[in-house]
Amino acid sequence: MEAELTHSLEPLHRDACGWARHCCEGSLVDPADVLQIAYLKVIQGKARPRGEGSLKTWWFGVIRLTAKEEQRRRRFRESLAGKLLRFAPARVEAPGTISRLELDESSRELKAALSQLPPRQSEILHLVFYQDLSISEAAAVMGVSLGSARTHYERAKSRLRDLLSPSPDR
Amino acid sequence: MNEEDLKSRFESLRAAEAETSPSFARTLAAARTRNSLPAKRVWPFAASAAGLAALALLFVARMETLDPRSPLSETLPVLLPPAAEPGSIFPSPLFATSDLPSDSVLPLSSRFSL
Repeated sequence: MEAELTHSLEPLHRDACGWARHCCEGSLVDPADVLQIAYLKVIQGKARPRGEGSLKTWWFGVIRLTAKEEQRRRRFRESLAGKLLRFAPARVEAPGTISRLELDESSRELKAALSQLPPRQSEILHLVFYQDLSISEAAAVMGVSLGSARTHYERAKSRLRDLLSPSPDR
Repeated sequence: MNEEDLKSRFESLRAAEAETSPSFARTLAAARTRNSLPAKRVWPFAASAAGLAALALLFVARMETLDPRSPLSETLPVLLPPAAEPGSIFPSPLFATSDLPSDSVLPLSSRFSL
């Protein structure tokens, strides 16, 4: 069952890498770690699709939650309580780490603009434009209502346009 | 900037990122070598909950010892003097007879303010 599920995730792997990378943007968590933990959840049967929505929306939801868990864990490790409780230091380099990107000017500008948006707005733009999901699929991944997702989408688009358009005083 | 421009920018980012993504097999192999999911941090929460419960118990115990109220046996008024004879509390030896007036059965030491 798990092997079958893992096999069916292979065609989504590239997209999953991009999504994991986006979910870890701006944090110290390694997207490769997140992806590996998400795969491990599937291998161990701790994450299974519930039959609602597509496999892609479910898988992206798992990756998103895993990234959030890892970010929380990382914050805890670096907090005073975490240091007092002597948690093992976080791994810096994992096998299969996603290497640093050499992006062109346009992509760097886009990434910088996305990082200025609120997380939900940035997420929905990534899901719709990068991952080619519909707004309702993106809403399912993000765990928000369709109406809320539409609002985030419209606001995000207009804000991103403002950020990317050259301002007249520049 | 229209929607098409946005889309093309995202597509070029996607293409650049796809080149550096690790392969599926490699990621899966790395996942298998991890062998266990990171442990959930249950015990710090359990420890803090136990600590809070202990503090609450200590607080309640301390409140008990600091309670200024005396026991009920000390605060109730004594109706009879301690030396009173058991037989002398009734005014009349006729107590044993029937048709006694009701006030003659009242204890002598009782005082009622009217």
